[in-house]
Amino acid sequence: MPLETGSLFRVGPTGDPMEYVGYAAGENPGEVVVVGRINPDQPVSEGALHRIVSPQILAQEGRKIGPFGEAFPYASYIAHQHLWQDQFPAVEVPYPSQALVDFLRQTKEGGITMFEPYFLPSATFTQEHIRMNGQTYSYPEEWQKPEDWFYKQIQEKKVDKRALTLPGGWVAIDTTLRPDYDNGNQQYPHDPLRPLLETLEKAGKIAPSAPGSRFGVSPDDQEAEVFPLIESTLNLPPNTITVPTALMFNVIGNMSHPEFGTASTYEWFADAFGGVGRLVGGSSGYGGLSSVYRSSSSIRDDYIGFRLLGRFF
Amino acid sequence: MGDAGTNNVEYYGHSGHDSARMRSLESPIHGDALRHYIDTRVLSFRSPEATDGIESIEATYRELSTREKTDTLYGKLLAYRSGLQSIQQETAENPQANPDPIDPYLIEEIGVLWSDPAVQEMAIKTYNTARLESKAYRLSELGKNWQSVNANIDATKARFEAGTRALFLHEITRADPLSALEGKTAGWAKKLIALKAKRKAITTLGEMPHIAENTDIAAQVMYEQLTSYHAQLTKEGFVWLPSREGIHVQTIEALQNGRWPVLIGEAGTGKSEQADAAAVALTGEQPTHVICGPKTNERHLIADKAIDEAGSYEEYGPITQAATGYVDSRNGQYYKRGRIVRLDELGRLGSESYSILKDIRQKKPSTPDEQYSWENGKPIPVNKLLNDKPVLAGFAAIGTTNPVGPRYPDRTEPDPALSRELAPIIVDYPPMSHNNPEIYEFMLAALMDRNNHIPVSHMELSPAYTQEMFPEDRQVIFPDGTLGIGQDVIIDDPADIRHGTLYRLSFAIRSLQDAFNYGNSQEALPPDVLRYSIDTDGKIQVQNTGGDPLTLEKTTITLGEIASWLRGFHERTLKDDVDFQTNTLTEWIQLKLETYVRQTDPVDRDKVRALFDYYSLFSPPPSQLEESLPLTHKQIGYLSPRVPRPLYVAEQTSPTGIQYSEKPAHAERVPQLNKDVRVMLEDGTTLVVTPESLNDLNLPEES
Repeated sequence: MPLETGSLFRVGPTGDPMEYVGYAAGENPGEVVVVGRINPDQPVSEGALHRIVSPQILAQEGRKIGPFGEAFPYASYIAHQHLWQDQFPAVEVPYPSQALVDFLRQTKEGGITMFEPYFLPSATFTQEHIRMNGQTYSYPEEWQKPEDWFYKQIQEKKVDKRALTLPGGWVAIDTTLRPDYDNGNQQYPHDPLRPLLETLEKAGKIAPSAPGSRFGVSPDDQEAEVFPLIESTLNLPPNTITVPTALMFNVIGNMSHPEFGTASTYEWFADAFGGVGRLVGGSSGYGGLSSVYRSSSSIRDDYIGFRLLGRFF
Repeated sequence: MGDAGTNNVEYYGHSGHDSARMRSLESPIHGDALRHYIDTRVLSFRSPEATDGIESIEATYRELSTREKTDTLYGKLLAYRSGLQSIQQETAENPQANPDPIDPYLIEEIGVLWSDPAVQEMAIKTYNTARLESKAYRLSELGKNWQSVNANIDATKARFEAGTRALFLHEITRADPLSALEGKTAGWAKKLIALKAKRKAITTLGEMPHIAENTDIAAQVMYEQLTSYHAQLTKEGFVWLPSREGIHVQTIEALQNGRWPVLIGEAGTGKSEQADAAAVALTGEQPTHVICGPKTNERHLIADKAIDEAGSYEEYGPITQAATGYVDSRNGQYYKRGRIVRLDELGRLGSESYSILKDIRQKKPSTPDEQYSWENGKPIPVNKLLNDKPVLAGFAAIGTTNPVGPRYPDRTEPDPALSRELAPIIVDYPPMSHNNPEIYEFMLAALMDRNNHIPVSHMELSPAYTQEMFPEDRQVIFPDGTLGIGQDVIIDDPADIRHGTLYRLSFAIRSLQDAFNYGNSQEALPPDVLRYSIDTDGKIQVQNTGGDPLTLEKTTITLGEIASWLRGFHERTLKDDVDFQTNTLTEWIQLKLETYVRQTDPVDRDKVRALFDYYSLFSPPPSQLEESLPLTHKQIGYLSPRVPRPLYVAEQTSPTGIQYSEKPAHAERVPQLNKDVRVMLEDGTTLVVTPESLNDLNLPEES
């Protein structure tokens, strides 16, 4: 495997793991040395210590650890570990899969930068508390839980109780900012999905509220037309692309992306409601990150957009 | 030492790709990559029979300079790539599909352009330069900061606007969440101000040293800003220049303070766009709209009787619609929240209508409880009713008008009682100075083609600079010991012929707009106003001193008009009018100026021509255009004088004195995951690292 910036490697079976930083001029003219950071389990900060290794020894005794590289540097993994463990110490963050890293590399090379790798721990978020890895936590002070209506629908079995759990694993979340409502003419800014949606629209397979828009595309349209086309374009296995559940949306929003709840529009969630219903939410006028409501999966509503989520677990 | 072969930027005194390390990356492999792509991915699909059109293609491009041919080749290659992506998409979507192949004529055009050895050399050189600049930008901390600050601004702005809107529309009535939202919104406002200051500091580099590494990134940041302007212009026909954002903030603040803003400005200053944007920001809805006149009365503003086969009813005017959410007396409430009414040409209203406005200004918004009571037939305070319907929170008005003055004798000021309720906001044309070149930046954005490229020689575009070496007491010492010894300084006179045509044009446009403003001014003119005199032959000459102040009675020019001129430059060769087939941007601008002068009102015509002559806009294009190279993104960013120029540095001293580097120095690039390229080793020593992947070093994976 090539040694990219952000890769994790070791020299010899018991050597310290190091994060590859770059190369430098050696002592003799024309000589090059490889430079790695020897405390890669620390957050990126000034003063980190480095070690030099000769390329020849590295070629003979080096081993690459994990899938890390330019698309997903080891430092990003460490940042995620801190993000969770600072608030919920019981969380264990596994290495991401090679498939996720390949996906990020492929999308970035294609100029698609909206996907962010995100770890979601195996956890249950009830109305009262959070359970993770055998530990029970209270909600952090500023956490915006889903509104009471959501829990009530679960009690009444209109929404499956699995809506309260995260599956545990890495996903790629689409962080594109959802726009405010503008009579159905609103568009996600700089949306790389637009050409694909226009292709489907021209073929008469979907009918968005504005040309190439993510609004007015029903969950039925998404599953039948949009997600398969994205998967085939990106060479992904079927059922990799979906939208987040209401809980995933709420957790990622509270942990890292408060802007998810700042637009007046809604977005579709993956959770089913009743027979043919789907959950929607995120509208700033109705609670932002807390906002959850329902609509029908065949409705092409110009008030509701969608956010992609790649499942890699 | 710089590479003379790649030195295409001497004119505006900077470089960014000539450090030893970066030069070492310019191995032949990169040039080969472009050659390989064109030979194997493009021209291999050339049809052996398709030689019929070659002669006509050669004739089409024969007269072009090497730079123009290379720019054209770039556009054609992007069109080829885009076409290929469409075909791949169509095939991926439907494997049975049989899309049309890439148009063979396009491939022939690429083949003809690429067959010129000079074009090949220039294309490869530019490609390598652009590739390295782009990589340096991606890896730089400053570039990442810019992107992160922008994302943060977008997110904070969205929260701030949502909070502002909720407060303006009285969406929250309970005291505790209301107070909390006020606190949060105030916090978001402060954060937004701080983030915008941070963004400005990145563009102008703030306190950071003006070494080439930093100024190069500031130039790339400016390029991104210009592409963003270009996108706004294409999509909305309006660009949110900093001065326009300032007016937006003033308008919103006036409405939040309970006053009705009146945007006062000349034709083409963008008053209506500003009013609409403020209305949408505060209410989420487009405003209703009244065109005011001396005969405007209650029927136009409040309600008018109508009759049809079903009987008589009232059609509500724009003010009632905005205030109550009802459209007529038959149908139910259409909008649940108040909207804003835009009163165009407010200054033309007669006294009767001003009285109506005064009355409406006294209305207060009803509460949800009062609306419920009214719906159930119970009375509510009369000052919360308009035309017997409850007034909704969020209702307000924004006026637009031309300034009162000799040019507009039918405009009058409202009486003092109403004036106290209004907030006049002056909407002038965008500024144009060396430090704040908004009109020039607007023009650069308008001149971009669909690939965000400007296929024009920098000599026709750029401001000009002179080199200034610092006296010893002003020299700057950087932490690594290098010495800043001089810098490029912009030539102060905007009419100096050494400035590019576009730069001079941007000042000429602002001077013309100033003269139009002064033509209606009721106040003393500023001392530095341009002046004119008439010689013995009756010819008008514009000058800095003496003569009379230059004023225009009827002639102005809007940015929309300029944008259409510049967009037309890309389409000129498609016109079958021989006059349109100009070779250079300068000639194209001259064609447009001649037409403009011809169509100008006779009372102003000679002054306008003299003004354009003052800026030498009818002078021939620069003579060395043939020597230009195509512009890279960074070089387009450097066109704006807002981007600091890199300092010249002394690389080392010698017994004979200071040795000057030929170009401003380029510091080592910042690695992706560390604060500095100079990293610390375990033994405490430091080392400079090149943060790049080693693709040739394949390691086995640890099991």
